[in-house]
Amino acid sequence: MNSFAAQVPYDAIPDDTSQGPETELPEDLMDDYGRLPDRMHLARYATGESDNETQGNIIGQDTGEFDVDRLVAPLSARRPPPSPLLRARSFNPLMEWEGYVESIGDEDFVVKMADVRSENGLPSEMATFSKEDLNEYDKDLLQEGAIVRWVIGMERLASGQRRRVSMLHFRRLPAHTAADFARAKSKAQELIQAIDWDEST
Amino acid sequence: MHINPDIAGCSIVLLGKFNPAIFQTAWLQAKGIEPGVLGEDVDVSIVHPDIAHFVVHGRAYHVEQGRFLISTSSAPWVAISDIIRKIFGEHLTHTPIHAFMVSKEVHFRLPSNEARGNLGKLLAPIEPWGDFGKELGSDDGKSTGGLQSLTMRRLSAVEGSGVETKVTIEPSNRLKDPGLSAVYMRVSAHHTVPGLPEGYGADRAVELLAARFEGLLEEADGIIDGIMQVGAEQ
Repeated sequence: MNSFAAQVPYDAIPDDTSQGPETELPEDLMDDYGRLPDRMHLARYATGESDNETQGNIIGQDTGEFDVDRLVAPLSARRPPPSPLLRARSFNPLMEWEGYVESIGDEDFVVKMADVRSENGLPSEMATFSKEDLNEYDKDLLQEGAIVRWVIGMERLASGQRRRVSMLHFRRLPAHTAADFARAKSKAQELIQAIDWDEST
Repeated sequence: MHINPDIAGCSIVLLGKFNPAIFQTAWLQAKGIEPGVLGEDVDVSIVHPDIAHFVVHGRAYHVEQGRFLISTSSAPWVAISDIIRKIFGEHLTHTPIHAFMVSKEVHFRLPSNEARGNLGKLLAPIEPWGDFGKELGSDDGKSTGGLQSLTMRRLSAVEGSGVETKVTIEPSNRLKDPGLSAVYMRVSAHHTVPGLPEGYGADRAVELLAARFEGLLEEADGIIDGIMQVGAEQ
């Protein structure tokens, strides 16, 4: 009965709010999206958890609180460790730019970018980043033309501590398929045909 | 006063026919979808023909035969859209997908419990509720109450596809603040993919998701910012 005006501690009362993906879905699609299979509810029951504690709060990442052992665990089963995402950080963007790597030097590289919320989306700003700032697994993606997203945001650690963080993310986009090229060619053809040529000149 | 959420997250759900056993961290790494998968970055709960659930780099994957879900609490949100495009637009292109949903969620704090209560009364006035409503707003110490959960729903058609947008607001049960000022909001947009031919695959849904993902988040942020602003003024 947690409510906007309630004056009692959250933990003192059972809460049946719907902060998870199951209740956010359209009722007529509930079966398709599905409540979790019965055996998972049973697994929760076996470990003494309420559905509310584990019903997949996307932000809380409670969806990770079951495993195969628990599906067959007796009622006295050990309580599982907390989901890693319950301990995970949250990183919320304050500003976001996207662009492409224009040039690469020995120690740094230049990205031409635009604010993702800008009207025209045309890259008009340049920023230089150090190669040392890249994740190990992003270094292979560093090449001219690579699509980059730069995020400045507020990170909240599991401890509740908050700090401002800058992060560079190399987008991993799907390879272009033959169908993509066919669509692009068709679109180009449409544009060409839409041009109203001035025959007088 | 501008409020920044304490916790934010984004998720995408696909509806269709999936093979959960395919979704393993080693497969994602081999395909370059989740590179650099190290032991400490992975938590596998289950991989089974009926269900797969694991966490990689802070992204939670949950796959059942009828749905695929990926969620994260770390920006940039576009990363999870890219992952879906890579999985289903490049590798598992024949997977039938007929609908998808994008959700944005936040937990934020208002200046006080009173502000939260006032926001609740603004969104759901207690006056029409008669004597029951009076008890919700009483300060005699004998009863209390207020808005527990409110969902607004919009149905619309966008370029031939049906879109259902739902906005839910509740007290947060994730932020354990002693001032009881925290609020939870979720905006979710469910899209059906129009005009699917017999033997359809993933391409239409993936195209639609890629085209609309950032716009959906922008709208969600606008709705959330508006409510946060109203809350801050209470």
